[in-house]
Amino acid sequence: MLRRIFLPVIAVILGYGFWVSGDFSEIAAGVALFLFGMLGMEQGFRLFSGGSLQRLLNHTTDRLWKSLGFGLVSTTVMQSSSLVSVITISFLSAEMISLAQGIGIVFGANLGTTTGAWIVAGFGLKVKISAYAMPMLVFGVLLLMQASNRVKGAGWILVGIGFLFLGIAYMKEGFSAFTATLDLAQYAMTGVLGLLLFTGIGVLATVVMQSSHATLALTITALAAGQLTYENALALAIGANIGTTITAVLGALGATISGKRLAAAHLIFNGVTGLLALLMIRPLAAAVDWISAGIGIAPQDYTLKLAVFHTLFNLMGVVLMVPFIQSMVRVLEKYMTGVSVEHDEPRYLSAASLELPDVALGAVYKETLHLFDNAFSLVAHGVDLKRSTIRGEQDLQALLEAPAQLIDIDLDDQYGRMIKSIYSANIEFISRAQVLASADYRERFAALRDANLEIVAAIKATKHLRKNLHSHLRSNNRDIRREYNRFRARIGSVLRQVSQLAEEDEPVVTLLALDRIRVEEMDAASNANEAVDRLIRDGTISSSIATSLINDGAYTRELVGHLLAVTESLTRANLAEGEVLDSEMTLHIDEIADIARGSEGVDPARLKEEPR
Amino acid sequence: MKIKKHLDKLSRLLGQDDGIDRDQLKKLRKVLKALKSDQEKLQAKLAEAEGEHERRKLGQKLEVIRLQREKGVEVYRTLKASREN
Repeated sequence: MLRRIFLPVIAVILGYGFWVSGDFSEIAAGVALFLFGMLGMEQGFRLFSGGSLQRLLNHTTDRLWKSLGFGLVSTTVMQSSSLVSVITISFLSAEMISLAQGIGIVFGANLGTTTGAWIVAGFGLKVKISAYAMPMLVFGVLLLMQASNRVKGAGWILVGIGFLFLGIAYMKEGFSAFTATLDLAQYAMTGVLGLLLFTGIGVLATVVMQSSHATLALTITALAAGQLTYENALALAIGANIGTTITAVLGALGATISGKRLAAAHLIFNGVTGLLALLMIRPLAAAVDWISAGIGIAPQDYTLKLAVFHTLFNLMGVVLMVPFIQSMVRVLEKYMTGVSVEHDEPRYLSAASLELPDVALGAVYKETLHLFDNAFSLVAHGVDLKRSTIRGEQDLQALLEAPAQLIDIDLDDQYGRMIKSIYSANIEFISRAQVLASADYRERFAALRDANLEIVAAIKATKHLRKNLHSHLRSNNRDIRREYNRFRARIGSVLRQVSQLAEEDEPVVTLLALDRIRVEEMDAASNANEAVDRLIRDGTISSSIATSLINDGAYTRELVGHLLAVTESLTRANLAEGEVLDSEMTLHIDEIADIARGSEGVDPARLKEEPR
Repeated sequence: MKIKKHLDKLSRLLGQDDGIDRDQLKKLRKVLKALKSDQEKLQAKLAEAEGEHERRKLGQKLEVIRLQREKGVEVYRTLKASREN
């Protein structure tokens, strides 16, 4: 309800403002351009960095100081903490970094945002900033027209900075013109009430604009034009810091429990820092005067002094809170737990990762592996094999004669508990991610979608097979038992080899290794058919059992085919763009059939032959 | 000459260089090396294998690798030749 009326109310207020004052529209246009500039820069950094920002994050957050440094530097360079927050939440949701590392990044990012105040106060107000904006916009648009994504990204960054500068210039001019008609400073309030009221306004402005940066830019330009008192500007800066956490909390609503914990840590950090700043406003203001005098800032240069204040209280927050990061992690993990259900749920997917194709791909890849791992158990137990037997070294041919240890499992129930929810989430996530991602990623998302479909198809084939398998494994006829055990050994062998392939780093090598499994499987299927024919001829089994064996042999082939297809699709999702080696080197189906058929004639001397 | 070099660099930077992937040969060497290593492991297993079923399986796998390496070497030659031209 609140969300529904929010936009119309803002639109009405803006419309009224435009109607009564031309200067107001100039300020509002400045804010709009500033926000658009930030969006442009964010888009630019996404394209320009490709996956390198994510890779950097992966490698530079193993120590707390590195996490802090990453947050600080990346936010300073990009002038927006929202992209850093989104990447951090998505990494955390995909369990690629720990909560402590995530908190370190958020703390660093908070410090990084303080550089924005320095840029606006130290540069934006001191020079004719719009003069810099124009060439940036022209060159930026020129680069936007290029084919390469990296160059386009650089174009967006230039356009973003151009609009950011233009926005500051509009705000500056708007407030200067405003001074002639209306003096907002007459509404200035002093004392505790003024402090609380302007902190509240800062929170509200940041929530509306979804950016503490924009609130600060607006505050600094109004302060420069004399429309705000220094004291109220300090309160607005504190409010902006608190308001920005609301954006983070809203962003974390669709995230996993790890993302929610990070948002809570962000809220605690900014809340505590804001509260301390309010309580210590006098000593902090005195410290600002002392520091400003020390670094040569004039006593009347309130805009730069505001930048000093903003940096100082955020730095104070970091220094005070860093020693408590581990305690914060413990408390958050203790009190913020996921809903415990009997069903297995997706672990790595979050709405935040959808925005970054590399992270989205990584998250859904991990989730598909999670699904495959669950399916692995279902398939193994469905054919009465323990996971330990498959993962171990035991010769699976030994299964043929040994009495099977039957495993009691309700596949339909297990499907509902272990598969359905993750499978549905994966398919929905892939559909959404495909729309947002560029064409370069489509094939990989499509491969992951195929992997998910094949996993479910493998479980369905297991269900069909299990019906007869479970009863015939208890048969008094040794030949029937052996033939059904042969199916189990085949499936066990494929599961074992497929799980061993998961260790391989090079996707092309994995795809080539699948040919070996295909040959083995084709040979095994043909041996199984011959065995059934022999049993029929010898009169050892009835025709009805024979048809069951033939049908179940087909289900086994189908199941094995699905398992191989899952591995192939998962591997293809990791294949470099434009990779052709796999198609050049894998064997054709007739070559596979030739090897499977002519296996007895393979000359050992030829096998040692080196390619010419 | 210097200007041409810089122009080439710029055109690569602007993504206009659609030449062959320079990493392809490196990748192929890596894949062939991995296949060779698998082949050696399987040969060692074959030398120790006793059962007929096991020997047949290992023989098939070795034949697959032999054919794939043959194809790989062919691709390597073609890539090398196209780079030299």
